[in-house]
Amino acid sequence: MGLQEFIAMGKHGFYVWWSYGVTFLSIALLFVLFAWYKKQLINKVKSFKRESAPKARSIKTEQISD
Amino acid sequence: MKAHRKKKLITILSALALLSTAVALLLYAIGDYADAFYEPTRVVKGDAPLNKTIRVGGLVTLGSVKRAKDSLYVEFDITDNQEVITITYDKSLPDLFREGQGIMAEGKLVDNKTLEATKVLAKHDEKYMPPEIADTLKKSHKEGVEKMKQEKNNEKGDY
Amino acid sequence: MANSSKSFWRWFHQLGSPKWFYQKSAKWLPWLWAITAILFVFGLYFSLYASPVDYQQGNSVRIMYIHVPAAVLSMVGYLAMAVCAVIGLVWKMKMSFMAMRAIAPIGAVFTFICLFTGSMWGIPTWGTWWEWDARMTSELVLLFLYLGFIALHSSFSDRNKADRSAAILAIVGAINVPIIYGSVKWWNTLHQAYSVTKKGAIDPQMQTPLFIMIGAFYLLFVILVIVRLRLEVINRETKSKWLQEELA
Repeated sequence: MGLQEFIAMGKHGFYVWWSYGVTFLSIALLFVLFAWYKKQLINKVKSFKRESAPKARSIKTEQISD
Repeated sequence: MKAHRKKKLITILSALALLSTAVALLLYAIGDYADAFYEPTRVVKGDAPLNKTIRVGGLVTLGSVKRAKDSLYVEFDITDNQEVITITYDKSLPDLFREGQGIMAEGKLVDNKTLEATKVLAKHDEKYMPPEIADTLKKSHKEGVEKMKQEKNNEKGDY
Repeated sequence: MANSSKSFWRWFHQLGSPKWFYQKSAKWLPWLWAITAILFVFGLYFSLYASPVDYQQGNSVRIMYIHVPAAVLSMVGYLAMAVCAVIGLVWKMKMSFMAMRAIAPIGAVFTFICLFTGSMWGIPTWGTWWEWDARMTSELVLLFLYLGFIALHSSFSDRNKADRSAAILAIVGAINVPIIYGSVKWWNTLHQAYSVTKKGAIDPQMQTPLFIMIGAFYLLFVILVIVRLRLEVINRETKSKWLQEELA
């Protein structure tokens, strides 16, 4: 079976490749989203640390909203 | 488990049971309307409105499929084993379309014998197999039928 | 028996500790990735190339190898979310609400994949990309439940309130899962009836790649949940000393 034939998948290449493409693209997007969120969170933790470092004894118990 | 936790769990579970009963009843009630379509008999009788988008369902009559040579246009008959109506269609048919298969056609009635379809749907029968195996199955089915016929003839011969 | 149930409860409590989970899961992830990658290499080789075409559907049968696993996980994911919601409400375990929240976006994406691949299969095979039959409608409802959960949770600024209200939605919505599963049996749907659990409906040459792909999707789902749950731990333990040391 040649490459051309493999890509064409009879007359169904369009449907098969779109299905597989969208599936793995959307899962990849989830990972990208998580990586971006992680960056934000680490900044949050760092800024909190900086804020609370000099006066460690008086840590406020306010909620940090998401 | 502590008493207050148990109480909470029971509350959640009983609320869930009540709700699911309600939803089940509701779905049971609407289930009957969900798949409304006309059988060929009702169409021929004139129960189905003309020039309004409707759905008809039935089996594709063996040998009735006529395809145009230079376009996708196709004509075929469907039946509910009592009456027959003709469906015309000018787009490509689904892969599962077969003679003898049950299909559903959506479109407008031209008269009480012909439907001009805008959509033809075919249902899958939950079986998945390679073509060679399907061929073998068909063949062995045919052979089996022949054999049964022969055995029947032999039996007849005995009497 | 007493011993094993004791160790189960110990494990249950450890899993309830964000610190324990955060440290342990970092060690699990490489292994999970390795197994998942192997499964996908085999699974994709078979599903895209080495498995036979179907006698009626031709090559579009290959869509089944991602559609069915996505469908399975969209439902299993929602059930897992509902179980976490119950544990969170009843036992007030910290981690369970975090896990519940971590599952939601992942489940939503798998539901979307299920719907999309189903449409892509439906066009050539049925002759339509969508039909308001019970199976497809209830799967669409599942997507809305996931999205509703995410929206509801993010609409509260108080995290406790957000967790509790979203948990109730997760539990109530779980009714939809058995409806999705039973729909093809209870109603006359365009969608075919059970084939995965029905013996002999799927030829072994197609069943093997399907099972490999279901395994691969399961593990991928678990990896995604762990990754997202680790983020949720960071999000909620910002003030903990151990976390600041972890991230330093």
